Amino acid sequence: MKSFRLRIPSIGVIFLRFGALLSVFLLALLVFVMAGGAIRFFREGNVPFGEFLFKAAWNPQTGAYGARAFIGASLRTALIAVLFAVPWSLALALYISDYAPDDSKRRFRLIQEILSSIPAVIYGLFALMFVTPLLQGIFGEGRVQPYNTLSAGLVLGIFLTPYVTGLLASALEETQADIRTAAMALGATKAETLLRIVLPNALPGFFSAVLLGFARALGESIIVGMAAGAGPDKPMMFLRRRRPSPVFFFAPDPEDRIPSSPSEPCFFW
Amino acid sequence: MSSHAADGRDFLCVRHLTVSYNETPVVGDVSMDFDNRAVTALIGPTGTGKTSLLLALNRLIELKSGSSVEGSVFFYGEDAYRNELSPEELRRRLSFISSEPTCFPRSIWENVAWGARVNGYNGDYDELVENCLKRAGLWNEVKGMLRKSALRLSGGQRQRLCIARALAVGPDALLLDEPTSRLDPIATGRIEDVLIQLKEDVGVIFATHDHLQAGRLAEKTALFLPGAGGYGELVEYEDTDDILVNPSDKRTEDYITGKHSKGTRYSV
Amino acid sequence: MNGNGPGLSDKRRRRDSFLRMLIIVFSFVPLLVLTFMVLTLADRSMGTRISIEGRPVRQWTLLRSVLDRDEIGMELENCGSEAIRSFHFGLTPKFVFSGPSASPEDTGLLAVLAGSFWILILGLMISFPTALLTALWIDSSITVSKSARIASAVINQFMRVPHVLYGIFALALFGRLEHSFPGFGVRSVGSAALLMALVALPKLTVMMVREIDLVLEEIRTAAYALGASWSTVVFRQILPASIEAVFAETVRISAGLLGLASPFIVLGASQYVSAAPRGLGDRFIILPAQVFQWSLRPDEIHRNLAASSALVLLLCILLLNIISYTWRRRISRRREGLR
Repeated sequence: MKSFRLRIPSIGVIFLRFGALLSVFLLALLVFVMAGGAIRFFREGNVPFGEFLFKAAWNPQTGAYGARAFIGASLRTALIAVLFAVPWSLALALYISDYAPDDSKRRFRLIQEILSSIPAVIYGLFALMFVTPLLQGIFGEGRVQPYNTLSAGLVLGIFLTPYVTGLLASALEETQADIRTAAMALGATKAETLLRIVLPNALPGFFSAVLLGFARALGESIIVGMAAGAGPDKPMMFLRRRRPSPVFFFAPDPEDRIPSSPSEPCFFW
Repeated sequence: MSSHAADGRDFLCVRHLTVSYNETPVVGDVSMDFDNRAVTALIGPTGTGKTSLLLALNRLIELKSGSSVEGSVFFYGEDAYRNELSPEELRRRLSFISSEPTCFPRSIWENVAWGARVNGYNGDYDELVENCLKRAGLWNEVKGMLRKSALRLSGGQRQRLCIARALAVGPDALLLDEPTSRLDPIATGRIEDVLIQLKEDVGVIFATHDHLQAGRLAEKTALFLPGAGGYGELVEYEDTDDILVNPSDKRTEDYITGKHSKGTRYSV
Repeated sequence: MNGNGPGLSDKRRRRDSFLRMLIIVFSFVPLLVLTFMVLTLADRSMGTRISIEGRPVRQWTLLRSVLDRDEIGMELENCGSEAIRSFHFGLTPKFVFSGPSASPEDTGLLAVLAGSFWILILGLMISFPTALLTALWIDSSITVSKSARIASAVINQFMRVPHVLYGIFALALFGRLEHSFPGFGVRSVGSAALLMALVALPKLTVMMVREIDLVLEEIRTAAYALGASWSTVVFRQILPASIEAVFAETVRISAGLLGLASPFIVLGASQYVSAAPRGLGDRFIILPAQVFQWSLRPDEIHRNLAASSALVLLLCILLLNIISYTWRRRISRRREGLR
């Protein structure tokens, strides 16, 4: 049986393993550095975790590390964003999956791709230059500050739309064309097919899309930073300025940066 | 049954119907009258547009991308393609069942009741479900598991569930596309039994490539063969006995007797 | 036996057309908003300017210069006799292709653009081969090796980690490196390229695994059935079949990477650089970070700069997207032809 060579791992395979391990190693390192920073912060800074999550005061000079305001603002901004994004995304996803003719479907997919690659800075500029003045025009200049949560939330919602649309469209695609045809063969209208067969089937996908959108909104920093500002904050309403938590990575004091990480991984894992 | 017209001839008439996908016709210039008191079979080799014709009868073809229809379909004298009755109403009364049995991912009971509920049926649903499942020959097998998912059923049971689901909307006729092409002989036999019993109260129009099945079930048979244009054409539409025993057309005889080892033989 | 009337009830038909209208109207809202977005940027990028001795004093947006003509006239008189009123276009070839300058009126984007593309290309040069190797390993051993499955799951999770975290990570890691190797600068082109590679890594890997997965299983089985070794299958069958699509998708992903600002701002993008980067140790600046920094300035002139450079960024991204799209269309049409 000489003609059958025993296969020893070739150079290629070893090289391959090395490359793969390198990338996994780097990503694992990311988690360790984050976790290490957070643990050091909680241990050396002598800050109980509960206090960090729920205490309101944030003042590094006096050693008050309460992140509740940041976390609360983050959650609120993301909530506005998701609430604002879902209607358009759902309509767009339904339009792409059920109403658009085939050739314009492709066009819509291209548009969706371009939209999702528009950088966050540009959305932030839009919030700063268009949405905030618009809100000031609607609610009155005195009540709407130049940096406010509402404008951040709305623009964040627009930013989320292509992403959530993609997720929803793939959830809707889980109902095959055959089932739609079968429903319509029984004399159902398109609306009835959508509302009574397609949407109930897509419900789990719908929830996961909303959750992923929410997570993405929590993690987005630059839009929030530009629209809601990264300055010091006070107890406030929607139209005032907030400092949602991802933003405070931009804080000038380098010590402030690492500690804030734990709240983030908590949301993403 | 209120749906029976006094004169069955009026029930469904097709005139010069051509169905095309992306400008390429798949079946051309069909003119025929269907009888709602008989079982009608559409036979012919694959690719002669039998399915497209069935879909065109109740305008489901409009859901397929790139499709277009010329000619007219008269349903009790009303032109279906001129919107003299709505497509939804047409589809309810001519209920289509595809060759792939597609159940909704719901319970068996829900599957049967769904179409009726959408169409605003206001009688007793349990009774309707039981009645339809009995007529589809499925009641005895599923009566203990009506609330279980329909996806547990086997292929043959699913196909009968689809028939029951279609019966629940009160159609005048069922349009079945190769109802047994994916089933084993035993399941096929069950479906055929169901269809024979059903013709008592609804019309049955089915497509098949098996002319023996047409001989077992159908009173009337239409034969489609690829024509000169490369698309399917209606060659003969007669009583089944005439077609199978003494066909008038040479091409029919060749098809029935199996002298069609080369598909090109039919292009005259 | 059926409770139906003769036809479809009006209520059902109305409901059907209502939903259709609703969906169509709603689905055009995002497009409308995006049109507004581009219009806002365009509006801000040009407008009337009042300058004294060549130095701009005030500026109005295009819309304002049309609406508030009187106010501008009054302002012009207030500024004295030396004031000159002119119409200013932000997005000019001079703006895009000239070097940086300390004064906002004649600063250009060349250095910033060069920085952006350098960092992108360097980052891709690091992460593209790594990602390709990872993807090949995951693809070939996901069915047999548990570690490949874990790696694949981990990388998928990293797709969802917000970009800022990469910046914080890089800051912490490179900060320590800087401590031990004095030559290594955190705020340098080199470390920005490393950060770019890190951000790109999960994106590229996930994309490559998906593209390689599209190679038909039959091709592999057939090749193995002929007695080919693993590396022959990879280099003669899998890679040739998928590499072109991988390149096209990489172009699409790099459009997204080009617009990334937050991790680089965290890492410490410069406020101002005097020239295009010449080495890995130079301080770095990228276009989106520049847009961010200009947008935080209160004066209208810097906001004008921010809007103009945002338009440049948008054009670059659009261009990359269109290249990638047409490329992928061509590939998929060829694949359909093969089948």
